[in-house]
Amino acid sequence: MNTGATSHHVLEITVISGEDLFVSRRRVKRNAFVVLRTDRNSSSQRTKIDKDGGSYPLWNDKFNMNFPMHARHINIEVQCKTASGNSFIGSVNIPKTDFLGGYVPHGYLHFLSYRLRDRRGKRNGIINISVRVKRDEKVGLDYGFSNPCSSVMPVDYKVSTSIVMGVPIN
Amino acid sequence: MGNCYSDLEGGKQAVGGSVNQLRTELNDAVHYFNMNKGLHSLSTQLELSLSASKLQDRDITSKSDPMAVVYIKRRDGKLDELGRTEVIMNNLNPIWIQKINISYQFEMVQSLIFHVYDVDTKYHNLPVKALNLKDQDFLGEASCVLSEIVTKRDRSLTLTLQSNNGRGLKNLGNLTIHAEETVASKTAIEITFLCTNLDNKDLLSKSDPFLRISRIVETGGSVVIAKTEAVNNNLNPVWKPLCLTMQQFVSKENPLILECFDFNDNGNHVLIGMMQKSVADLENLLRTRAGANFILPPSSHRKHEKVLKGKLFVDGYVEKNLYSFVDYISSGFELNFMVAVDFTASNGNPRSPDSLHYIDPSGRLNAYQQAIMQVGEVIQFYDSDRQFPAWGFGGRTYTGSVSHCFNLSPTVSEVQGVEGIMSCYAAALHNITLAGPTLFGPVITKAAEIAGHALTQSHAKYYVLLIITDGVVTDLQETADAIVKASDLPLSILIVGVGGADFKQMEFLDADNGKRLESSLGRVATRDIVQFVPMREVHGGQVSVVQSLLEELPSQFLTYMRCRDIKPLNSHSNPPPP
Repeated sequence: MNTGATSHHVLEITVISGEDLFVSRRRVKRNAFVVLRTDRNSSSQRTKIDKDGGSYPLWNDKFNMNFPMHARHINIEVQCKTASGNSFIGSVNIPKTDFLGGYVPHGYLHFLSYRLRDRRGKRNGIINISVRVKRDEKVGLDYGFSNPCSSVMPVDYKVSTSIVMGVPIN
Repeated sequence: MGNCYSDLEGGKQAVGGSVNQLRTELNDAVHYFNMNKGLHSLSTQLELSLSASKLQDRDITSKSDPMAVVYIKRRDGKLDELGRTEVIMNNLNPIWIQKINISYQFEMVQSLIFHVYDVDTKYHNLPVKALNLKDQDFLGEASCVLSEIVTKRDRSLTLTLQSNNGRGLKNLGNLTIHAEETVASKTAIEITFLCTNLDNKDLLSKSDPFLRISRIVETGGSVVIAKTEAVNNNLNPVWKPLCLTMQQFVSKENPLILECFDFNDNGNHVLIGMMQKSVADLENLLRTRAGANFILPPSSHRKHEKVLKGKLFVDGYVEKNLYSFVDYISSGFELNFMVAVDFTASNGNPRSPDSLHYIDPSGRLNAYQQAIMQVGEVIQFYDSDRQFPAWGFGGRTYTGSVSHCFNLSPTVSEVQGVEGIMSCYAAALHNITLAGPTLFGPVITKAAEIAGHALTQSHAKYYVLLIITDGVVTDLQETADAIVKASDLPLSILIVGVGGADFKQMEFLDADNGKRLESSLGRVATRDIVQFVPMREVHGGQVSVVQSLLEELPSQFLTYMRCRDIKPLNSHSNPPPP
């Protein structure tokens, strides 16, 4: 069994919404989007562009992400598309301890919110996401390791794509 | 620009649950809004149906003609009549049809008293309201607490009738009470608005319109219930669907004020136009595909209202039902209670009568005992096993070192009932030396651990941690970090401040000012889970401190369940909302 170590976790990440986003000290007017990656693999995924959400964009985009065993965080970067290319709004590194391990069951749906920081480290808006560990995948042979989620997740424990937290911020 | 956005209405986001947002009338944003407008907890209307069996026969020639009267017992012991059933002739097993209405308030212990009478034949042509109860034969009485009914699986509770003088153990029959939420209190509508030809209020670009909906209240004035997001630079805006609940708009015929504003960054939104419409009117607008013209009210330089060419259309209208707090609770969801008591030295020597921990031999409760009793007596009905973890913090324990989370009972980690907490608290005062500093972090982390662990067994449990403290938290940032982490778990934290200390920091933890709590690592609380109340209010005013402490709990519970799409247990057996 000792060679059957997990090589990566498959995460289901929903990028829900952003709040109070600024770009060069002005409120974001339109076209914000999010780029997701881990600190281990260079490949990234991005949400659709929210054309009319302004500084309170709403994406509700769901992704599957392979999160390597030795990765430490998910990097989230909020940008917005402008006529002169993409401008950087803010980013955050989400430590894996926020959604892996701990005392909640494997497969728990985490609703997480983070403060974004711009290039100079100044506070920008907030990003709201949800993260769930879908399953673990291993290198090489499968040792009959069953999906840990199915043993603890109630059948009706599903996430509807259309639901996000709506929490106010002044 | 910075602080131009500090008021809630200044934010461009929708309030009232647009379709993509959490579908709930109690979403935090709206709730915050309501709190601001003085509209506190939204109570739920229940209808009680009564039936009885094996009643006493008091008539000689025929059977009894029973009628039931329902009272609510006030804190001062006085009874207020809630209503009477009809009289059923000649029946010892009556099923009454007339329902009794009561508004269920989670934050209060609502004691109900039921009296059953045999109404004499000579009064049968009188309306029941006009009957003088003294002239009727008494068949028995029963009492219970409303929460006992709503926590029952089928929301039915059967009580044994007793005589009112306490004499005689004779079986006087049974009374069954069934509670049903009125359908109205669960109804919500999702409505899509669009406008055409709005007036332009901006100089260089077009208006950035948003709609605000208010309900006119009986006392005059209005309460804002929802608003849409602002659509930039557009005189023909289409907004995302808005969710309004019956609790917000009260009835379909109730007039609502719809105002369209041009969003301004400085918070001085300019009124584009307004109108008064009920939900029924709006439904009608959809059916007829007609637009309604906005008007401008009369002002100082204009005597009459002005009809504008801008029009409002309804583009979509869906009615739906939401699961309510009562739906969850009566299906088997539980609130599990945990208590943590402050054992820091600032409370004063427990042997001295001016100590906050002084146990008065006369039986008068100290502030800690009052808080435990008052919160416990409400919550205990929602916890089936009544096994409560009871902790202390900031005290020097049996081992001789200061602990920031120790069991009050030296033998068990959970105690039985509110009485159990009370007795182990009093006993702990003899064995624990008050010390310090005041740290909340370990207690909150422990509670979060329990709530997190419980998820492996069941998702039908929600935890409530009561922290009672006399003072200033030393580990404010650590506490904030623990709360932010716990905001993702089925947990709410109630903090009661006792004594005369300055509790400013607590207001910071209780995010009622609309500011979300942030951890040192940049994580932000996903929802508000803390409620703080200073106990000193209880000594002066008559308003129960516990009510304001508990009134946010049902909405915190619902926010957690709804955003995870967790449904009441066996929701397949009750038809789920469409």
